[in-house]
Amino acid sequence: MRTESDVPIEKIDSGEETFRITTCPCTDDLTASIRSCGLINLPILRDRGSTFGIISGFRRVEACRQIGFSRIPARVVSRDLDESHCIRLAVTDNALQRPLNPLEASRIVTLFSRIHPDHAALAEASTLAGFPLHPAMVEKLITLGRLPHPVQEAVAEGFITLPVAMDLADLDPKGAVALTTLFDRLKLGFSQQRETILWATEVAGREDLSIADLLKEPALEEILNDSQSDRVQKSLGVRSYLKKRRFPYLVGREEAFKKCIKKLKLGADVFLLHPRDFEGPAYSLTLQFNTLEALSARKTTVDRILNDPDFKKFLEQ
Amino acid sequence: MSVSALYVHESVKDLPRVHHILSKLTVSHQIITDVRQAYADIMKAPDPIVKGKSALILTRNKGTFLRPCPGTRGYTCCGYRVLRVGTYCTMDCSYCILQAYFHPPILQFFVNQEDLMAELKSLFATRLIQRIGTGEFTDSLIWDRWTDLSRVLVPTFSEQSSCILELKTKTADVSALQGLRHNRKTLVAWSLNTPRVIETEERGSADLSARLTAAVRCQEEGYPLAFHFDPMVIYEGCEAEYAAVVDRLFASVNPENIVWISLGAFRFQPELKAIIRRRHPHSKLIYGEFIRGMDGKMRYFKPLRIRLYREIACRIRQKAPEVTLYFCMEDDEVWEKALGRIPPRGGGVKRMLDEAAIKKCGLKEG
Repeated sequence: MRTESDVPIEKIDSGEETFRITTCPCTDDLTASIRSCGLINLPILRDRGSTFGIISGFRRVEACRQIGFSRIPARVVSRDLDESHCIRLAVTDNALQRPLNPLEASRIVTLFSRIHPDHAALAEASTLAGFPLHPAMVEKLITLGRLPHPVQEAVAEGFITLPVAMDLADLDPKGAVALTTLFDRLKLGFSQQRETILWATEVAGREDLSIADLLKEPALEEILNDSQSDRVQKSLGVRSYLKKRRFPYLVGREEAFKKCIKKLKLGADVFLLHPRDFEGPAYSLTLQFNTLEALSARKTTVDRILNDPDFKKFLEQ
Repeated sequence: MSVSALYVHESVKDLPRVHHILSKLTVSHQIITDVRQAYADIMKAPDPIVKGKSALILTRNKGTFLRPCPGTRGYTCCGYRVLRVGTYCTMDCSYCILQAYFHPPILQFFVNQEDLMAELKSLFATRLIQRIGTGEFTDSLIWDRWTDLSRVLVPTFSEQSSCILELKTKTADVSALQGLRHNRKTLVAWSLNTPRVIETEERGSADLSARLTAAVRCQEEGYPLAFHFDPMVIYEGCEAEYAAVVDRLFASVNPENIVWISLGAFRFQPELKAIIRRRHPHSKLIYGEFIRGMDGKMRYFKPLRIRLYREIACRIRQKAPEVTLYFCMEDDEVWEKALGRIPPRGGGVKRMLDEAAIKKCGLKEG
């Protein structure tokens, strides 16, 4: 049963966050809107005798406090209302207002998991409450809810995606936080984040290091603290360092090849490419020309390649 | 690992062979009409891959027993044929592709041996040289404790002269092979690795000493032998450790009795990586310097493979200059740089191995 009441604001316990779904703080926009139009959608409170708990409307209550209201209108439900009903009210009120971020979705799943241990039943209950959910997402969202807070916040803020968060969930919490901090600092994109996680995890696994310790190593600190480099250069530096640490021989071979190419001075019309990861059967040479004279000039370059002792040595290695 | 769950497909429940196998097992069995009933039980386990190693289905092979080895695109294949007697394995090697290959993984033994024999008879009738192995989808010798597999196959191959049967194993129990008429048409092959790799990655397998002792026993029984350094694992100091394995091998067996030795560095389907990480969290195998090969499998960076192959091939050559040495699934560059020769195109490796079998096992074509 819900009744509309005028509730003394000091009796509302905002510290009790059982049903909190929103990750958004109270904003000036919301405060301004309430000042101008009043509370259009009333918060839903649970009567607890001497105090009230919030089921939905955490930001609205906070805005009203900031404005200085002593009493606010609210929908009040009985203290006897069962928990599943309260969860449905919280979910529906949030889900129908705005798109929810993954962390908010995770909170919904965590709430429903208190009454529906089975993932399929949970997904169905959430869908009925206005937040459509596929059963396959349930486990991921539960995992997200168990991640360290800085990682959760990064997901809520949108600079870490759910797939990246799932990669981080496989790591020790300190490592996950250290990587999240790095991603925030360098503003790495999705694929760069995943690549960095992979390389850092595998270097740490191979060398019996923790990821947090790996990321604190002086060589990386030096790259990150280089005042001459911008964010893009630092990002490149960190990823190059990790790649070289993970694939020392492959990177060494790539560097040796680049050195050969540089020495050969092929020009803009001759392209010499190595097989991918030096695994395939053949190198390829492309010559661009538009006249026989130009082709003849390329021949000189080809001869230079053929007679270069360093390139010969490189191929024989 | 002993069998803890036993299933018999309804279609084979009355076969005498099935009763014979059941008499060797102490666990009670369940008759099933659909293998999915057994799969469902396996999938309930916290680790179905482990559960499947102690769950056995006796059933019929509805497909063909003899198949060409799947090989892999972009690398040189040896033209091997696989005799599919059963699936999966009781050992638990961290790198094993069978963890990812069967869905779900479960021990299956095919009891319709009459069909198997009919296929072999047709193959023998062609009188073409063929190398056939049972160790592709399972270990060749794990079945002998419950079945008469080797006791049937070895004498069958002994009665013809164009095909060789290769029994590949990581076990050391060769008692079932003793006293069998083989006529050198069965060769017994061991997968060899360094003691470190065996201890850390080949859970449940026999140690190196036991494998070599078993090889000596087979040699004494007159069986030709083969050895597979596969999968070779690259780690700091691996060259010296593999060289030491080579030394121990030749200190144990007569090189004259070795039909072939293969070398193959660890390679794997990308999806195996997550399985290894989950099931074998202490294994450092996946942290090697792997790149994606031409066939989509992950392989060690080629110069690292070549370096290891070159060193071990050289050691083998010192000990046994005449032994047939080949690579499983490598390209011309690796052959050239590690062995100094490239097998001729269009079946060069196949011919090389066929010739080795002709020479050491007395195979005859036609």
